[in-house]
Amino acid sequence: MPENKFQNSTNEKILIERCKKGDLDAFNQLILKHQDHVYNLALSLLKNPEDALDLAQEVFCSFYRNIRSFRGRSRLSTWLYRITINMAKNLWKRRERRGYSKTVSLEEKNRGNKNENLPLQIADNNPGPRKEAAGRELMERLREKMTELSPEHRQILYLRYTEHLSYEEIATITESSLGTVKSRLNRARTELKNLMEPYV
Amino acid sequence: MNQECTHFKELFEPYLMGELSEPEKRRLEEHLKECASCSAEFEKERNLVSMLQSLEKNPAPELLRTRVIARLEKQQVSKAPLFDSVKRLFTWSRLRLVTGAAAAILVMIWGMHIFLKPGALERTMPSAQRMEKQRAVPAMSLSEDLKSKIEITEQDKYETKPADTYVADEIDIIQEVPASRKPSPPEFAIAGAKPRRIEEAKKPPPSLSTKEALEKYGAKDITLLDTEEPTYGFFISSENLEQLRENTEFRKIRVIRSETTDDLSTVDTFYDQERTPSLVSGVRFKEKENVKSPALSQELNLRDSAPKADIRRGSEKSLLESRMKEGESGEAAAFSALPSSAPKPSSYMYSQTPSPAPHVLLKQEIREDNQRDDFLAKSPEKGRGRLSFESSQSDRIVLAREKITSPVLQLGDKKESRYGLTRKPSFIYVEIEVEP
Repeated sequence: MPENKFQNSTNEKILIERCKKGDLDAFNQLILKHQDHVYNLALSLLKNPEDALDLAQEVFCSFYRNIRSFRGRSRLSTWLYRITINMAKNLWKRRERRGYSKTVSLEEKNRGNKNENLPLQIADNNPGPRKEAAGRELMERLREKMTELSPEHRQILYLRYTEHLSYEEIATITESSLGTVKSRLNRARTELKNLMEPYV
Repeated sequence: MNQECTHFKELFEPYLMGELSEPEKRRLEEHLKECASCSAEFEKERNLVSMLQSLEKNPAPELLRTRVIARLEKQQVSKAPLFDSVKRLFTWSRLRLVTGAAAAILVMIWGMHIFLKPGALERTMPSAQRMEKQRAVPAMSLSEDLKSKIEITEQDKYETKPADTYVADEIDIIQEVPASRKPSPPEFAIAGAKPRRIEEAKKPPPSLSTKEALEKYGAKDITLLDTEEPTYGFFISSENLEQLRENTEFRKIRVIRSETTDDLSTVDTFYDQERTPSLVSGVRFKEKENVKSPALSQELNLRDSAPKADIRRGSEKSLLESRMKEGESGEAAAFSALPSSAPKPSSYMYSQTPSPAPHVLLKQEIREDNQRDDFLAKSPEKGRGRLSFESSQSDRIVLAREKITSPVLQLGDKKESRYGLTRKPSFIYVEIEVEP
């Protein structure tokens, strides 16, 4: 039977129940299933792979600690996305207090350091040649341009076009209205279109 | 571009995502065949969406899973079952519930203490009866032993210390008074307003011992303002005020209002505090914008013709509200709501010399991050100062001048001190109520 888009699969429900009883093996399987989603969302929000890794780690630990309060009314992935976004927001707040801009990663901030001359881009651990509609160079250009967008815009583009989520699901995850989602998505696309003007 | 095109452009994205119904799809396709502009736009949109969809996900590093599991295993090992169950008892939500209940019980006990203590019922008597009774009650005095310990020189009374010697205090955000401005006796904010000094013939004289005791603390211009609930107004340095508070003889002193005698740089209103240096509402007023304000000038003129009014306590709010309703600027209205014993209007005049604008923080608002949005919503014009007021109860009013600037909005840190907001006042006007 195909998996319902809005419900957790039976297998996942069993795993969640086992996790509630403290079964780390079950939790390990859940991480395997969701780690790419959480990590990539974190990456879209924070840009920096190290930060994204740390955030994803915190998300899973928090998820495990609070798994008893998960009642299965929404999809687990929705719940995880929400935790990720909320934790990223908290991180931005802490950084803003310390004088960092939320749109500038720590890596970018440290760029002035002699030994830290890392490129600012979304790291792609396994880029590989893309033989789809666009070539590798175009994709790299797109990734580069996306770093110029605000985290909110990157996040919504990621949820919509990489995770292929509906407006409703994005609204649930971002805790905003349907109208907000649509307008934010439009703005994000328009901004990216302008940035990618020569390529689109 | 006509309206039809606008409508169809909104359908580009759902079309590309395969979310349009068949009839809608057909209509859009037909429109694209006819409209060259939309067709070109659609191509761009298609390219972009196609690119975005072909962005590959980065695989999560293996390190993620191993780190999470290792951390959780470690936690599970270190967590004994007993500890776990005890810890669950003290979850945040439960803790909040318990704390709330404890606070409610404390408030009840405090309330019972207040209302059941001797004299509480007397305060509800008509004033004539109360005054009659007060005559029979001996005035409060400092013990001789304590008096001998207090030695305050004339210099101590008026000396204004350099700014950097003041103790940073997150709560007290009153501006220091420049040394050049010696405090002046309290006068009435509204010209022609009825003096609050009572007539000696009708009311009993102030307690000599209380005055003397206050003088020991360097209090200046002590005035008996009210005898029904013996209230004294005087100027005192912040340091001496602290000492005054610490004196057990003055246990029942209630600081009604405290404000600097600066040129209205600070108005600090806090009522109903018993030996509590912080604000009840947590909001303070601070204003020192060296720009000549037409609204203020207008207000000063208005003040001359203002009706007699006792604007103490609860009536301040209504006065402020009524002035605001009359269409005055918030700034003027707030000035008009100054207590009647505030310094004379001339000291409110602004200097025309430009200087960096100050910053004002609403303490209540900056404590919670989630209140920041409300704060911003109320002040959409960034960087522009405005006045507002808050009141928690009918007899409490707090004025606040908000200077909305980006540093202010970087909340949470204790960096406010660099705006000079955390300094204690050097000399403040205080009214105390000595309960007999």
